[in-house]
Amino acid sequence: MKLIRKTQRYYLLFAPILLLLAGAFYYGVSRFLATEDAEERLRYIRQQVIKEIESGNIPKLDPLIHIKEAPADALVKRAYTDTIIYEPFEDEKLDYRQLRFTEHINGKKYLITLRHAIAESKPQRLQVLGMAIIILLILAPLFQILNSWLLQKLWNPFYNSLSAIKQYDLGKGAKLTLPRSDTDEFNELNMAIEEMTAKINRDYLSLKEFTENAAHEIQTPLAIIMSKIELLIQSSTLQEADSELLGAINDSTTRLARLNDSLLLLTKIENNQFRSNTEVNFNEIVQQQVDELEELAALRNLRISTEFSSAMRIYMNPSLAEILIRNLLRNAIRYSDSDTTIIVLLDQTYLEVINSGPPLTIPPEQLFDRFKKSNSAANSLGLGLAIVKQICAVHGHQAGYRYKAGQHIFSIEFS
Amino acid sequence: MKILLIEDEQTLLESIRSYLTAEGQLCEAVSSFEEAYLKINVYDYDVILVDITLPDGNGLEIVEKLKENRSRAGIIIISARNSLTDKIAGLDLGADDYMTKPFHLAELNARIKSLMRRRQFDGDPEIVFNEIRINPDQSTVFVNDSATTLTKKEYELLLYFIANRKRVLTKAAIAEHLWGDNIDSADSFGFVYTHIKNLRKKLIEGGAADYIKTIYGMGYKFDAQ
Repeated sequence: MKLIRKTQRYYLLFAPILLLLAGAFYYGVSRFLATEDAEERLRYIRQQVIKEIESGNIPKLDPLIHIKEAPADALVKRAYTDTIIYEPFEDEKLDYRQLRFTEHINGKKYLITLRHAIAESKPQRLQVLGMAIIILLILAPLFQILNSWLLQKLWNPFYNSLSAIKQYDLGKGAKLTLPRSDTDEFNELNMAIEEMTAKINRDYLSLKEFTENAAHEIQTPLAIIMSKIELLIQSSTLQEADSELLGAINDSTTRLARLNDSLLLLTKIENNQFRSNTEVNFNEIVQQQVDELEELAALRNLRISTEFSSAMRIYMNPSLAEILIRNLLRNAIRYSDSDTTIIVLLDQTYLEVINSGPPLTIPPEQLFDRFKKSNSAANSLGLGLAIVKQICAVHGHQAGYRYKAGQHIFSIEFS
Repeated sequence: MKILLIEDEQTLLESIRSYLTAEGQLCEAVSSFEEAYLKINVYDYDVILVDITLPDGNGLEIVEKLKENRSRAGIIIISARNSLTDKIAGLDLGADDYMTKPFHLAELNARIKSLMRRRQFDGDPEIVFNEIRINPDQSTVFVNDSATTLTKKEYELLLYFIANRKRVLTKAAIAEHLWGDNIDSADSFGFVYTHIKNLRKKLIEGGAADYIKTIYGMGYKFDAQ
């Protein structure tokens, strides 16, 4: 849910409650003031009434003034109370403030009850509620407009930063700079994000460098091990059992060397060290790789057939184009059922390498991941397709896979 | 044949020197740019093996200097960097070959011999091993003077064996020589076996002795005994 909708929802939820509270407060205060007012009048009337009685005149005005003689020992504490009296004239019950007290006047004791209506100056509950609803109906749309305008204005720097972050490509090494705003919070957020991305970038770069450096550093000891094994192999004093051990060591070392080589290649592609893009004749490269690999295919009784629908030229690094096709072909040769044909289709927009074989034993979405390989390929390094994916990634092509009617179809959609 | 080896990694230098010396080559080895620079200005070599990354300089400058001196030496660059730009730069400067570490010593040896063969215009261009005679210019093979038809890979295999005769060649080294990066070694052993079987059969059918020996658990050896 959008922020603007969320705030609106809360506004709509809280506005009636607030208005009701305000109404209740207004009602309470008005009533208090009206009561005060009535009491003040009652005090004034009291003085007038006492004066009247002193001058021998006992006033009577029902229900407002009520005086009667009381026994001398009667004791009524002077007090204000509320009372409701039916008004036949208006046919409704009205609120009155009532003052009742005893007073000795001219040697007599009087019990005097004075009343003053508070109804007239006091707002009705229903009126207050009605007002609240009217205010709400007028204010709600105004609030909406004001709110969306404010949100847009206040959150504008946030959306600017957001779009800048979305467009930012981590790992390219460029610094992320977010637009400054006059809101402190957003500036703080922007600065925190900038610092964080800078740190992530540094860590990422140093990790990339580490992988490449490590692969480089491993090459020299590997070269030494391989050369020493080769010298040892020439020794005439080797027993048959030693030969076997040494053979196994040699095989593994060779494998390690290839693994390191592939990792180094993968890192180099990731680090964008293959920059020199030129216009590449794709048909030519495909044909050349097919020719080179045909013999390997033949050793597994496989045929490779190519179908070029048109001359395909593309702007990319020629070495990477070769590696891309070679890895796809090698993959097909490795996993194809023997005595079948591998089909290479090349169009203006896509390349497909199709080989027949049993379904995958690993989830297809992991196919292009590093070191993911089906159990039948223990000898595989598991990096060939990862390299394919990486080459596609740096050129913006899309590598895909699908399985249809016993055929594995690897496709590259050109950008 | 006189070879100068320029390699800063002492242990690797020893290995290469040891392998080449056993081949009967005269191999001088230096481990710094400065020593190398002195040597090439004073002596003549048939082949110079130069590492690009030296502690006190760039091996490519040695290639440059050799070309400046109009040296006739064959130059093979050995580099820890499998970098296309280095390779192109090296070959552009006039180096004859480029190898990336780690490599098989047998491969290096074969490349040195192939390089020397290409450079000896005045000498006998044919390679002879007992009754087997190879004409590298025409890629033809004769056994007892009658032509034997080999496939391209069988021919390459035979040349590799003869360049490294009396040496044990591992299946991995053979596979890499024949197919380079195009094949994962463990996969290729069956293919190596097929090619060797065919080559052996053709040579024996042509009347040659069975020179290819299987070394159990390791590989093969091409030897007269």
